[in-house]
Amino acid sequence: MTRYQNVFFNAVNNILNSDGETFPSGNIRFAYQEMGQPFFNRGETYVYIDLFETDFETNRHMDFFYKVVDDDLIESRTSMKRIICRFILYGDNALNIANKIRLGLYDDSIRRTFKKESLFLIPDIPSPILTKELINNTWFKRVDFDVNYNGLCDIRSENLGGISKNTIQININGGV
Amino acid sequence: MIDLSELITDPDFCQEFSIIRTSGDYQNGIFVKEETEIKVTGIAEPVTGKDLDIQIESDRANNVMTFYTEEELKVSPDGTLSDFILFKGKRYKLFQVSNYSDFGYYSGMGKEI
Repeated sequence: MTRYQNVFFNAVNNILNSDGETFPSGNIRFAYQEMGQPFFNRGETYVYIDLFETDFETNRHMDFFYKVVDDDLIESRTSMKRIICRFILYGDNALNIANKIRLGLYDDSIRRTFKKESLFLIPDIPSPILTKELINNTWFKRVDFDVNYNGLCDIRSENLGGISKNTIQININGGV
Repeated sequence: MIDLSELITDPDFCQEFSIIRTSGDYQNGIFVKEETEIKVTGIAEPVTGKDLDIQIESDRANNVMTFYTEEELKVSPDGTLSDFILFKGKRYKLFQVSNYSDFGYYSGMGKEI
């Protein structure tokens, strides 16, 4: 998942800092961090991004490609994986920010940046859900929504070798 | 109020350990921390001893210690992480701190990581 972190961070950062609006990039954070991370302040909005893979039917399909390189036959295998990007937002403005991210992810310019990383948006993003969460005995607005992507990945590449030229000798009744 | 800090630094009780205090900032969504080591003298005592937790994939050990020191101890302060204690080569993450500064000391419970 680490290889995808930058593309998701940059996309959200670009979406939230467009149209003359600014959003502090320090408030866009990845949810999983090994040693934990600092608490957030009331009055600000925070976007947490949780990236993970999940099982899906299309994950099981595998494509084989062959190409000749310097007389050798190279076999490549590719497969798809289903990647879920779970957005968790906190703050009074969380729902507006979530809707802005949701719409922004449909933009062609944003989708092109994902395509460069072989990530393809599944254009069916459910609406963000607003809930409330009790933290330190005070209520915070919390918004959740998931976005699904298909990711193309190279599983393995193998050199199958090849014979371009060889001398063949046939013996008939002991003669040549 | 009685100042108990002289007990905290009493050579009959005290040992040396370090408070690892973090500061840091977010870079591309990742909290990048810097650590500062503060060497202190205080009391370190076990809470429960080391407990064995048998799981199907591995044995795990839980070890909780309490630390007493004159230096302030912090759990989840604004903008950074809770303090760690470095004691006899093991690192403990503090999860509970009591402020007895009116009596000259702080105490903190930490779990070995």
